[in-house]
Amino acid sequence: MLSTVPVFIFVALFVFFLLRITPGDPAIMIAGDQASSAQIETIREQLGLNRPLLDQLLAWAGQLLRGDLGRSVFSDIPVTRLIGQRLEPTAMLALVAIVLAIAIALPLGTLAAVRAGGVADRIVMAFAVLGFSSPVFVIAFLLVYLFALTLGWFPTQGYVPLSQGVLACLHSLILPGVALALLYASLLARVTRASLLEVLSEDYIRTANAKGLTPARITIRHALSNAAVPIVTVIGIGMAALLGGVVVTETVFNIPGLGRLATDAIQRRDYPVVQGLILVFSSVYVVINLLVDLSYVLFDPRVRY
Amino acid sequence: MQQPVLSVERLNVSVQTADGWCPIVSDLSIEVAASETLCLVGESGCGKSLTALAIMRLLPRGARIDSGRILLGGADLAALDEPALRDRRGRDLAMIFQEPMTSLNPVMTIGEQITEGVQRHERVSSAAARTRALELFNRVRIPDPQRRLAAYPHQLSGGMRQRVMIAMALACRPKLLLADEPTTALDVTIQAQILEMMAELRAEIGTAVVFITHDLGVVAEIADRVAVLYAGKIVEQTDVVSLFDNSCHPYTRGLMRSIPRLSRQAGGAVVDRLTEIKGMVPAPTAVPTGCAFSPRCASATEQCAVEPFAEPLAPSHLVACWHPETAGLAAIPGGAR
Ligand SMILES: Nc1ncnc2c1ncn2[C@@H]1O[C@H](COP(=O)(O)OP(=O)(O)OP(=O)(O)O)[C@@H](O)[C@H]1O
Ligand code: SF4
Ligand SMILES: [Mg+2]
Repeated sequence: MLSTVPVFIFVALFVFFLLRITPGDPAIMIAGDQASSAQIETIREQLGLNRPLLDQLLAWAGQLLRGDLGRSVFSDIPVTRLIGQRLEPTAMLALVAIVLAIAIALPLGTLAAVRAGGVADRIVMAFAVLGFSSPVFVIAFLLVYLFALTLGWFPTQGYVPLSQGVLACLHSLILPGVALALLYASLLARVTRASLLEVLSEDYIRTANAKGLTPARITIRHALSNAAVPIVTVIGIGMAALLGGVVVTETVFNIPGLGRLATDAIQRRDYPVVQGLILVFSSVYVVINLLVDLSYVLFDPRVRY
Repeated sequence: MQQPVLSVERLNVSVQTADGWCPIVSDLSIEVAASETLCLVGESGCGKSLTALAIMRLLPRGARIDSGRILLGGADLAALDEPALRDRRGRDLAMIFQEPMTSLNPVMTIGEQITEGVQRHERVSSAAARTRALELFNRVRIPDPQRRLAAYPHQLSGGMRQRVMIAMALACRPKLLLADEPTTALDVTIQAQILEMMAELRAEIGTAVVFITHDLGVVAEIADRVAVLYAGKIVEQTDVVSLFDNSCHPYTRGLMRSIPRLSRQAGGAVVDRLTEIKGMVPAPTAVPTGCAFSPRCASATEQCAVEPFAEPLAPSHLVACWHPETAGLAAIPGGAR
């Protein structure tokens, strides 16, 4: 938990040096091969690349502390504003995907564990392998083909902002949400099954059976609560993994989120935006890990901080 | 003997091994009356725990009941389906397990672990269930019970956890209590306290107790009757007095001789371990035909290649041996063969 601060510092340094230690002149790299020397010089000025390294580092640190991530080389808009504009679609997409994944994976993983070795277990695990090994864009295209083009239940692409109504927004996110959730749900279902199986063979489960408790109470109250720590850990790790999937999903479904911003910024070599995005994504990652660690207190009375 | 509470008839249990199902418990028959304690004794691996788990119908995966009847309160537990068993477990019969450290759920308060059992079987409010738990904690002498209800298992010592297990098992005043080496993991003083407390509670509730142990000292303290198990068979079954005074089976006598005795000498007490039984307990897959004890038995003859059956040497003293050592029984009319 105390590692949070050093991790932030490390990420900030990493982002700073990423540009500076790349071989060749970063200004030329950002401006592109066809740029005139005047353009290159402007970029160098803008990013302060012509100043001594230590000056640059201090300036960068000062900026960060003020919450300033610089300006886009491409549009000259502040990076924080660009990111702020794109935050909602991504946050909503991730939220929908996580909720869907948990809603799919927890019951199915539990079913597989309780019926371990049986037909239900095999079917669930087969789907888990399938979901885990299918690329997000393949799942996305299949979903679009079936539910958007053939059945017409959902739009093929696009995002309806929250301001136009929660339901409309959710409706526009169902297909991308499912596409993104499946991979994550596969992982989560497997972990749920594995942790639950381990717990179900514990002595205290036998004690619970000796009391005559019902299978539902034993599974939910006695077993799942003991399997919660590994499951929550994977939910946390999965959220981080989700960020990668977000980029692909947003591109396929044409959702104007952070993922799209990232692809665009990389294509345009808009370095300040890329830096800002890395910082934001790593912050999210660090915060999620912190929350996961803290949540252990809720699930295991033996954990104390 | 009065009408038995539990009557097990020719119970056979086997476990799955690499070469198929292997019998572990063979034709085991026992009866226990209300307020009576029957001790099941025998060396490690002879099938004591599996017998108790079979009676609870809680055998682990890879173990099964092949045949036999388990009569409790007019029903044959061996023939009941899972929902019917769930209605009885915890209410009619309860079990205390060998491992006090792992038998409680680490993420639930011990209060909840007691009240959930009460509320499963009786229509009582949660307040009433709590009151019951407090009463039970007082009975099993858990200090500061009010606070302990909210404690988690890791906050308790082994002795306290076993007291909790006992309270949990007795919560619905079961007709039958199966106690699988409940004190083996505890140190001697605590063991004595717990045995004494269990004896009290048994008398008070009128529960029939099957008490598993391999410690003859514990047997002397708590048993009314004793069944000695060797390789999954009862070789001798009798009341506790005649077990210690005139056991007849060569195996039982070997066990008696291997109790460490204190031989008093001028300088003080010296532990003097007398004759151990020679040889090893056979693996379940390699039990000799005929009398299973024959490779280790000094009295063995050719006759012992045929399996001996349990015969009464005296009223309610069963021995399965061709050559029982009946010296102490000669005086009893009709006792010796
Ligand atoms: N689930 C199982 N699968 C296969 N074999 C088993 C299983 N459980 C027990 N056994 C075997 O059955 C035999 C009897 O086991 P049991 O636990 O009843 O012994 P025990 O008399 O209680 O011994 P101890 O005094 O060590 O507790 C042992 O040989 C053991 O290896
Ligand atoms: S039957 Fe024979 S081998 Fe078995 S205990 Fe008796 S004398 Fe020994
Ligand atoms: Mg045992």
